[in-house]
Amino acid sequence: MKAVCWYGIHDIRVENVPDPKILNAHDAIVEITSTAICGSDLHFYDGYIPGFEKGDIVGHEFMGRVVEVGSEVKKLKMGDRVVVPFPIACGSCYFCQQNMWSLCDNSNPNAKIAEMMYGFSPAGLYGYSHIYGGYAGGQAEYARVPFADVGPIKIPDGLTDEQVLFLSDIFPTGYQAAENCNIQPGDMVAVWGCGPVGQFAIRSAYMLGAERVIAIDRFPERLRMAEEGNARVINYEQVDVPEALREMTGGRGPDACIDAVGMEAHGASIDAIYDKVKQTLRMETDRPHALREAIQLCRKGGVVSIPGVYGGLIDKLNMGAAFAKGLTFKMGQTHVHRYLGPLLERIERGEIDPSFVITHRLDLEDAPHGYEIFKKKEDDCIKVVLKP
Amino acid sequence: MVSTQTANVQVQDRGNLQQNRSGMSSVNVGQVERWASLLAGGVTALFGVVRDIRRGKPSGVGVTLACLGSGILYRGASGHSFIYQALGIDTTANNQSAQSVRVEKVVTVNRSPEELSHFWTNLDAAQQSEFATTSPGNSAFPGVQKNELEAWETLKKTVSAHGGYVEFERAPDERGTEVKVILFYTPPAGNIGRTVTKLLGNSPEQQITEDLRRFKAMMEAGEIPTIEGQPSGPK
Repeated sequence: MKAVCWYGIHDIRVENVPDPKILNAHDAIVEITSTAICGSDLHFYDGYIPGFEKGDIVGHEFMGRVVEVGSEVKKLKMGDRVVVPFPIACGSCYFCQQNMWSLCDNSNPNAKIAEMMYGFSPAGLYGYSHIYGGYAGGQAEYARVPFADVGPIKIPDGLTDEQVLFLSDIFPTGYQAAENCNIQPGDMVAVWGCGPVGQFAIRSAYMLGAERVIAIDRFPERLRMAEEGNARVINYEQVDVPEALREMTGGRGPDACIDAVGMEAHGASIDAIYDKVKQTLRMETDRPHALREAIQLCRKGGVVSIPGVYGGLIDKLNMGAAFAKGLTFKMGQTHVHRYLGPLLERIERGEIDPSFVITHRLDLEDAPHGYEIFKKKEDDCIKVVLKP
Repeated sequence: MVSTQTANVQVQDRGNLQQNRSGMSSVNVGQVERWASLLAGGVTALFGVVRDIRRGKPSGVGVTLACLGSGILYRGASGHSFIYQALGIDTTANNQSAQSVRVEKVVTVNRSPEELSHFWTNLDAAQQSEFATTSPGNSAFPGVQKNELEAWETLKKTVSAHGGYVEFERAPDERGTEVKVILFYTPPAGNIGRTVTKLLGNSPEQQITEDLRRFKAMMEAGEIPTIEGQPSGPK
């Protein structure tokens, strides 16, 4: 089959590889009908996620039809049309039973490595480094799906791929980010980053009752899309963010701040340049400019919610500000399984059509081009969907 | 209700654990000191060598540094200091339990202590009946998969091989069972051997950690996660 493989920094290739096989009794094989490039894929594209090996099949947003099931798979059957959540979860450990699926105890074959880095191992993920298990990803014609009865959600035929594909990651991720804000009536929510996750965070915050959402970015097309989602916008290259945020929130500061940027924040300030230099020299893994700003500008007693991915060490984080203001931090990989059903219902009811975020539809073969324009924000690229 | 169940697997006579001490009598430098010696010796020797290479010819200072560094390096590697020997000093922490090591590893498994201890005590019978037939399920443990029994077998083997025992203790608030393995083992070359096997990743401590991890996965998820055999692009 054809698969998108990682070979190094800015070196993504479409290769012919063997078809996946059932390896465990709870596995299924899915023939992929749609898959997408995630903003977090750009982190390994840029070489900032450790634990990749040459030839690794990447991609973690995918859906398709079940073509084979293992002997212990009871609920899924051949021909079922499914969306696959990006974290792999066993369904029977403490964390799965507590609805914390991305923290599953039993799905990471490389738990040892993750434990060394993080103390305990999170769940395995598709196509996202050997620290997270090294599972072959979904930017391919077929994928092996472990714990097939636990993760994949069946999709009724009335919905198109593009309407439901993003249940695999970015819609639940934006939604969890908003849910983590514990939004109360009258709350104002600021969102750093108007990429796909930021877009879903904006819309989810309104679904959960936010009074106003303020979105921060520098690309006009992304700010435009945020405005279409009813957000007030700040272009940080034109406007002073602290001043604008204070002004827009009656001097109180946002009740909750969402960092939908993560480890490769761009910025024009001194701290952003400092981070860029250190990260380039590999003296720091993450550039937390957006996070710093969120902490600094959040109101007293507010929430900083972090869907943006961080991989390791960060510098010069103002813990004093977080402490002095009594902030609450919420973060982590999304517990996608928790949201699949409820968000599918919202799509079915017509409350949201997630396909609004798609700007590019490419053949799987053109994945390297897709990564490039997504990375460079060329051609107003916001979200790339690949068709195998 | 049994809150703690101890399954003792008497394989190794614990009286043997203190033997072999005489073999390490030449070690008279403590662990921390040895690591410090390795580091300091290495840096000093390297500095001496590099200094001369840069200058293009050997010099008195360079050779002295290289020799001095090598000496310290040897002290770290062997754990033996001739100076300490002459002075009758031994910094290996009262000759401690350098030889026998007690290893304790614990994991919480999302199953009840009753289930787990039942498995443990009846394992042999279960295996015999299981492996005698190829049918799924098992007469001793109806509904139990063959691979679950294999997880038990692996764990029991490791525990037996090193001499040790397993305890099952109920975790608080219905959070399953704390499965604790206690092993006693004698590293091939004392503490330094222990360090080396750890670095190589095949110490009994790591082995039991991985056994317990697989055991937990099998008991909870019914399988051990793997990517063995999945496709990838040409390396």
